[in-house]
Amino acid sequence: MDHIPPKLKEYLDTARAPLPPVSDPDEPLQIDSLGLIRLVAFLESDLGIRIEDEELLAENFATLRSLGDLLEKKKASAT
Amino acid sequence: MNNTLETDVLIIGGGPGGAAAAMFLLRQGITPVILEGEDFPRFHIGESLTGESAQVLRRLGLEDEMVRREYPIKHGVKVYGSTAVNSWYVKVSSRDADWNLYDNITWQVRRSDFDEMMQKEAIKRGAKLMKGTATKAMREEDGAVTGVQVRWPDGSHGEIRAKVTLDCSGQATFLANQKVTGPKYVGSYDKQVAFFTHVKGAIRDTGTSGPDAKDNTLILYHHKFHWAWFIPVDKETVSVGMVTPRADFLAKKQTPEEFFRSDIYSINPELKRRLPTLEFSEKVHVVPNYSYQVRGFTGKGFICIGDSHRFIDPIFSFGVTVTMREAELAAPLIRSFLDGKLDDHENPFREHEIACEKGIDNLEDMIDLFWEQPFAFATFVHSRYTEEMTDAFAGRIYESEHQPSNAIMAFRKLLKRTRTYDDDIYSVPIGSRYHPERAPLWEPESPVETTEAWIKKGSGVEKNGEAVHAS
Ligand SMILES: Cc1cc2nc3c(=O)[nH]c(=O)nc-3n(C[C@H](O)[C@H](O)[C@H](O)COP(=O)(O)OP(=O)(O)OC[C@H]3O[C@@H](n4cnc5c(N)ncnc54)[C@H](O)[C@@H]3O)c2cc1C
Repeated sequence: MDHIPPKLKEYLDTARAPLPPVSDPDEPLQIDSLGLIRLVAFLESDLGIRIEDEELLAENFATLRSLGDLLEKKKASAT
Repeated sequence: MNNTLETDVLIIGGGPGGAAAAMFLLRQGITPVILEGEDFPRFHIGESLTGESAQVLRRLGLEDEMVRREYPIKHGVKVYGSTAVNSWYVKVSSRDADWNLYDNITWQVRRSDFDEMMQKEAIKRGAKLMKGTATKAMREEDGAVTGVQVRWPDGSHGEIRAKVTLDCSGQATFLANQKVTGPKYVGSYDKQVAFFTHVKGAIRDTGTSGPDAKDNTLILYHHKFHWAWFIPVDKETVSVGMVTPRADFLAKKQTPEEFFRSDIYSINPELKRRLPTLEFSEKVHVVPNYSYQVRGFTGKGFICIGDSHRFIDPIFSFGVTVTMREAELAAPLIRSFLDGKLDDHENPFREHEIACEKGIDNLEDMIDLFWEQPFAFATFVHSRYTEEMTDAFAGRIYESEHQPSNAIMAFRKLLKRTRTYDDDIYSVPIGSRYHPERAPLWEPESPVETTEAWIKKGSGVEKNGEAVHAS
């Protein structure tokens, strides 16, 4: 989960409410598709992370781990 | 009757495709013969029209007639997610001459009434309607179609000879079944069955425009490939249909009506809310909701239009649009052909075929993405490609200078798909490549005669290695 910035973790926990904060990196985030649209908007405008069209796959946003992997991959390809 | 009749253009089938074709041909100074096997009015499915359907009707001068008939006005389509907590909306739009987008409306129709209106209008304008069923395509030695043999209502037989035969026979796919065209391949969406009827007393919204306008088309999602529609067709009546996996229906061993009554409420909570009672004014119809694509659907002396060469998945209501637009695109070409202005090489209508193929391919990419990646699809509608998605939903898919749009190029990226149009007309189309094992339905040595026979057999034909790998 190293690649999940604290602000994002905070956002996810709020978006998931009333579910408890995520503790297990492999537990499904359970955010529905309109919630995911808002999450993408948050990543782009608040964190400045551009999500490409071909990254808009539900599996990339399924768990903290998959999201972390996506961000790590993006960072790696950016540097 | 045992006569032989001659005409420039013969149209097989007097549904919306055939009637629109007749009206566009009349504008080109061609008086066609429409051959229709059924007595109209007759029940037909396909009641929600897109923005482009409405534009075609306006171009045909039929807007006043549509208004006079008080068909329910559609401002847009609302799609509900499976829990009905979320929904998204796409408004009906048009483009002006400078390609600027503006809000528009279209209609939903009771097809028995609409189809009869279209047919009568074509006759009023000069088309000749003949009641009879095409039974066999007549051909020259080089394959050119020269007309059809006909069975008249009194059981006798005759012939209609024509310079051009337009196949507007819908899912009957007359020329494909006659093996005049290239192969007819089974597409991706073939494991579902649609059940539908007309319901009285359904609860509509109350608004006058936008997402809550009272007569919008609603699509209610349940699971992948499992969904329902809610389409107002007059002041009292709403068409309600559900598309379910064939296996669910077979497992329950119920009549279609029993199955419909027992399953409709479990599709989506929003649908349940809107149907307080289940009072039907029409029997429960059943259509196996399979998709298919005919290759080589134009050639010497013939053009297939609309459902007679391709059907994908009815989720976004493109059928009537495609058939009427293809009719509109074909009419001026037929004029040129009759005037001897098309180089009569292999296939005078080849360019038309590619233009139609490209248009529907855009729709196929859209529908595939909706089912495969609903989250990406919703993001495109919601924020990334709102304008392009509005175009796609309206059915603006043939405007080659604007299509494929950025949205459609993004669908292709997500689907890991590229499209080319230089492969031969017999190759397996993309829409069938998910299921290559069932692709070669129509091969000279195919053990299966027709799609219908194939569907009955269930498991499909044996692998035809050559056809499978020809891509
Ligand atoms: C479940 C479902 C839902 C759908 N929902 C929609 C929707 O909401 N909106 C939409 O636009 N489309 C919808 N469609 C698609 C729509 O029904 C068709 O695309 C449309 O009817 C095609 O019009 P057509 O004129 O090409 O063919 P048809 O309307 O099928 O007309 C063909 C005509 O040809 C005649 N014919 C056939 N064979 C012969 C023969 N050998 N000789 C003489 N006559 C013959 C038939 O009697 C018929 O009248 C839906 C389809 C399905 C299956």
